[in-house]
Amino acid sequence: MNKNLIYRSILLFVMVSCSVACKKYLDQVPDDRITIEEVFHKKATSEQYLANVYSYVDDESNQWDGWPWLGNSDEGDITWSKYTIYNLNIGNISAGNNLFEKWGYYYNGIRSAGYFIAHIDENEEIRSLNGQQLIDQYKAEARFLRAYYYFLLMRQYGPVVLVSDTLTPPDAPAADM
Amino acid sequence: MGMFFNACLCKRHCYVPDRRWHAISRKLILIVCCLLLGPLARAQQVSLHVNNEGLKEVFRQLRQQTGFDFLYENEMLKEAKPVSLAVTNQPLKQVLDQCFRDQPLTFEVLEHSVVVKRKQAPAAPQLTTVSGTVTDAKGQPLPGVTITSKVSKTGTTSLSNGQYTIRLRANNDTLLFSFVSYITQAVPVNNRSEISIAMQEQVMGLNDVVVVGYGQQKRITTIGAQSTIRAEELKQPVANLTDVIAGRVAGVIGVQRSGQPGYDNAEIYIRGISTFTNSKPLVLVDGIERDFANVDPEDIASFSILKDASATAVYGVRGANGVILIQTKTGKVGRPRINMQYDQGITQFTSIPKFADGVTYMQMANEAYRNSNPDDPLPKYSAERIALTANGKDPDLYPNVDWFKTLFNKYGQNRRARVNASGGSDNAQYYLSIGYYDENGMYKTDQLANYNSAIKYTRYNFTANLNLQLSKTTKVDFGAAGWISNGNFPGSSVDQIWGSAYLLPPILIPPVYSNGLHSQIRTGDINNPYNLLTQSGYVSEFRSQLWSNIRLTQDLGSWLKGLSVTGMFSFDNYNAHTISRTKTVDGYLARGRDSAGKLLLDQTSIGSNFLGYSRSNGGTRQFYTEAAINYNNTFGKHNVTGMLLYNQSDKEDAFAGDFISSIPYRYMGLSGRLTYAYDNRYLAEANFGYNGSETFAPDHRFGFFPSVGAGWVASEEPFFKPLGNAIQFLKLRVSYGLVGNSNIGGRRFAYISTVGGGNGGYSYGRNGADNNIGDGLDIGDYAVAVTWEKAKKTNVGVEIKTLRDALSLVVDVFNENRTGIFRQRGDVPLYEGIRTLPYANLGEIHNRGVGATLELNKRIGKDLIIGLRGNFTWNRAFVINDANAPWPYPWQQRIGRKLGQRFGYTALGLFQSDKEIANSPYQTGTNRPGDIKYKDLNSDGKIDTYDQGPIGYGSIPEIVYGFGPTINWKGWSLAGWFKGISNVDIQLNGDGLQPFSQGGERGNLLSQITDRWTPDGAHPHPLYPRLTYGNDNMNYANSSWWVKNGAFLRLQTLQFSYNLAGKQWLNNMGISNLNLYFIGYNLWTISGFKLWDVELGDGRGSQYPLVKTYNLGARLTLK
Repeated sequence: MNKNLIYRSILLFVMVSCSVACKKYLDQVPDDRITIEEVFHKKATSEQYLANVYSYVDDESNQWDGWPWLGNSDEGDITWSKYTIYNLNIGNISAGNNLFEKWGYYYNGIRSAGYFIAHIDENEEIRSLNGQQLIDQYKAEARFLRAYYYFLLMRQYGPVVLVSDTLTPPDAPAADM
Repeated sequence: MGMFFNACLCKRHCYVPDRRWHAISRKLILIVCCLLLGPLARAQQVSLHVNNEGLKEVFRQLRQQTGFDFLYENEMLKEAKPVSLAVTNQPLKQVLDQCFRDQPLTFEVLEHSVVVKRKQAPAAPQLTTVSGTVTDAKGQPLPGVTITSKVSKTGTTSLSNGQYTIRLRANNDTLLFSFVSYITQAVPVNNRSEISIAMQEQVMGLNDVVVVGYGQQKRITTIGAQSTIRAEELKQPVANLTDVIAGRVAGVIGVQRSGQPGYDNAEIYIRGISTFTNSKPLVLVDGIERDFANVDPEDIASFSILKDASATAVYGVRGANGVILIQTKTGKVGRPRINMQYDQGITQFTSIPKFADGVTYMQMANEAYRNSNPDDPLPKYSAERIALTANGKDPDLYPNVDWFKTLFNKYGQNRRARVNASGGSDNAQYYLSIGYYDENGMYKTDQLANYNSAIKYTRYNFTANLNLQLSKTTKVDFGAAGWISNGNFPGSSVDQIWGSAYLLPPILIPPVYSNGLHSQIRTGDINNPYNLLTQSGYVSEFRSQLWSNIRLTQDLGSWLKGLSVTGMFSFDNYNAHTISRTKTVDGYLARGRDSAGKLLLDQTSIGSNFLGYSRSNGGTRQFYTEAAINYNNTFGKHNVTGMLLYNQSDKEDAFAGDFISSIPYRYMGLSGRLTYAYDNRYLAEANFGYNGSETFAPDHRFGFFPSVGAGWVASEEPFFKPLGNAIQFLKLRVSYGLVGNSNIGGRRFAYISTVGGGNGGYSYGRNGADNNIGDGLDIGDYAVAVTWEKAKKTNVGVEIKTLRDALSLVVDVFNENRTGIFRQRGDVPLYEGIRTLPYANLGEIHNRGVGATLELNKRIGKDLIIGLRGNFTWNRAFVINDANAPWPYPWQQRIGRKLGQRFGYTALGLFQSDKEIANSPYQTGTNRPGDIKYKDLNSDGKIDTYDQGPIGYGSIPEIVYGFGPTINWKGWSLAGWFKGISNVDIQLNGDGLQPFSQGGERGNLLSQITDRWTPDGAHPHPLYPRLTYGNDNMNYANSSWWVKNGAFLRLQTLQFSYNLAGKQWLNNMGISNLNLYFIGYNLWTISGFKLWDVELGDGRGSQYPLVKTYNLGARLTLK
């Protein structure tokens, strides 16, 4: 009888202590990583963000899969079927076969530029180090980049969709987008 | 001690000095007197009236009356009991009989005296041996039957051929034969030395138990859909247990995509795939989540598969994909039994693709070149070159190489050895086993290299299970098991080696030049397969796994009958350690011969002579705790069981590469079950699981998963009894419930947004200045309220036994609605500019299917037993919502179609004439007769991606079936198992399959290249369309032309064995049972698909093929 009691209380104890530690056991949130709010509180990280917006400007000398102009021209006959311009050469481009897909690429840049413009004002560190002038300059750079990306889109695709200044949240239902 | 011989001539003790002389002389006198006066003694009449008198007094009175002398030892009388007797005028002998009746003494009447003797001690126990054979009602031998003797209190168990031997001390003993689920029989020995009996199975296996989630249930009252695989069937000569189970029972769909030792896990799905994320079933070994690929089948006591909601609801958020339960063996009470086994055999590939030889290659290349360049007068390869390659006189400059032959030997070998011992007493039982497996693959090696690049895999397993009965009510179970494996592989991976064989034409370079230098062409990414195989060094992998668990069970029957409580703790540890010692070799290319005939070589690559070194590690550790209360009781006809269980697990990656992966994976939950059975006829069951995992958002962390089920054993009903001759058992059951899946893939901690590197950094500045911001920053992933997948499952099942229990049939029909599948959203428009698409629990899939199992056992005559088992599974899953934007055309919609459906162009055939091409919709590139004609689904006059509709089935089979006969005749036994799949196809694509791609210089050719379209129509249904040099049209686009039927039927196992038991010469060696066998695996495959091993799946067949083995072995049991 004594032994029974001991075993039972051990098990009960285990179970009770586990249910008490319930919440904590599964609560392991990694909360020491950088967040997007912090990016706009420091100067170096904001500059990195701006560099990211700049990075969508591509090198125009990448003739193989960067730009379609060589494949579209009459001056060259492309035989290496591995590269995307080969498909242009044989006419294998269609609404279903989307080559040189820059549509989403530039819109990523446009969204990043828009986000930067909306949030760079929060950056107190730049204001205290370099003054409001640098913030205005960065904002203007971002605006130029956004316009440049629209230009590149129009050069390749024609009419484009103008995205509003206030960005749609990503978990909005598809109908709202 | 001396004996005092006392003559009752005098009343006091006399000491006789010369005892021996007196004894002899006395006896002589007595004998003489006897002979003269014998008759007198018997006629004497006496009377005796005594009450609790000692024998001495009795003798005195009798002597007075008869004058007889009583001869006895004083010692003897001390042992005598007092006598109470009242007799008158009875013959002396009769009176003495009554005096001596209950005495430890006896007497002998001689002429004039009575000699008192001790009763003979019972004769030294005569050990008799009884032996015999125990069989079941059908005549099959029953191993493991416990035989005990009532009187002699000895015990033994029957061997695998049913024979037993037991020692008894008395011939009037009774033997008790008992075995789980059979009626215990008591058989009196009756002086027989050979007793063989047939045990009768308990009606309907009333007490037969099956393993279910977190416990056991009686087979007759289970409601969940579950199947078991016999442990015997799992004992195949392969290292990996996952390869054996597909097709063995209804409900398991599996395909094996590679035969590489150490990497040959099969993909297993229970009742098919019902989700876009992870479909792997939960595997529990001894109750703990473990990987079962390396469990030694010899150690398995039971293997069960739980399929529907009722069986898996207790596993809550882990159970939606089905559960596999494996229990390892434990010891049984009895003398130690030792089993040993060894077998060895040769292995072969089931089939390997064939490449075209050099002459065929060049002829086909010429034809393709002319097709694509009709204006060029010169052929690609001149006739002279073709002739030089054909005569093979100069293999250095005009090679003709079959690259697969340079890579593989025809045969490899494998072997297994095992020893296990089990036994125990009432207080402790043990099971200990050690196993060894070794396989040599079929890669060739370079004998001159001073390292070993052969492909070899060795594994050692051990299992130790200990059960202690600490007291009548307390039990402790301890188990420690594990395995160690060592794999040796060449320095390049299988993909690299096989892929390179598909890329390199047969006519460019020999494997090795005749002067010993290694060959390599100039194109950077086309390697010499022989170099990759033998000259790139070696990789050595060491893996080890430890499994340990300890469980304490306390029976609380003294408080409440049927109540017990149990707790378990387990620790598992896995380690992997890989050392790569690789190098590359100097490569040369011959450009001709000089005047002396010596090869002129250019160096094309620079390697090193020495092996490099690199190391990588991996490992995990897992802690698991469980505590449960169980209740099981019967009140009259009502049987109630209940269970409440808590568990938690913690798994950590010991070598995590980043912070997120280093956080432990945790899970905790509560589950319960309540079952009720009335008279074993009406059954009801309810289960629930309430559990959570740290994968989920804090508000959605815990989920509740209930399920209910009901069953009716119709054959137990009174109204069914008249049908009892036709149908012995009929049971209907239905279950419905909700289960969850927490293995959802995607991003970990998806409820937190992240910051990532964005599109990169940017460098700027005027020439000469380099201002560089190397890393960009942008929003990485957006936060989403992630939760588990929910699956609503319904299952209806019927179980029938007929033909006097010879035939048994189980059929299940199931339906599953899975919602909340974690998918990356595809319906976000690109102009929103979101870099990484967010995830959401939006996917939905409906799955339904049928599973059936048939079993037949028949005994013909006295010695012949025939059995047949078969099973069949069909399932089909439909996509209801895949979180993607809708497609423009209805035939492109994925929604409403089968999960895994292929999409592509519909090929109508080959163009026959230029006129036909002109009248057909526009196809890009140059099209001539002999090219593939596609169907224009949207009738817009051109073939583009809008014309891609559903084609074929998909790469995961819808139908899996298996069947196998077993024939036993006396000691001989033959067993086979066939496995087949259907409603599946294979998509052909890739370099090597597609000829002359990328301008033509690249890629090997399959030997089936000659089966191509020719203008003269020599091949009416060719495999290849018109050959072209370079892919300048749509022939190799994704279409139904390249989708081939992938159904097959394979003889997976063939086992032929002979059993020797009970022979005298075996017994002399201490062996009680010897079994010699031949076992073959994957021996024979029937399929319409001939290009490569049909089970490898999509692609070009560039995986290590499945392996065929032929093994011979012996298994023996020591007494």
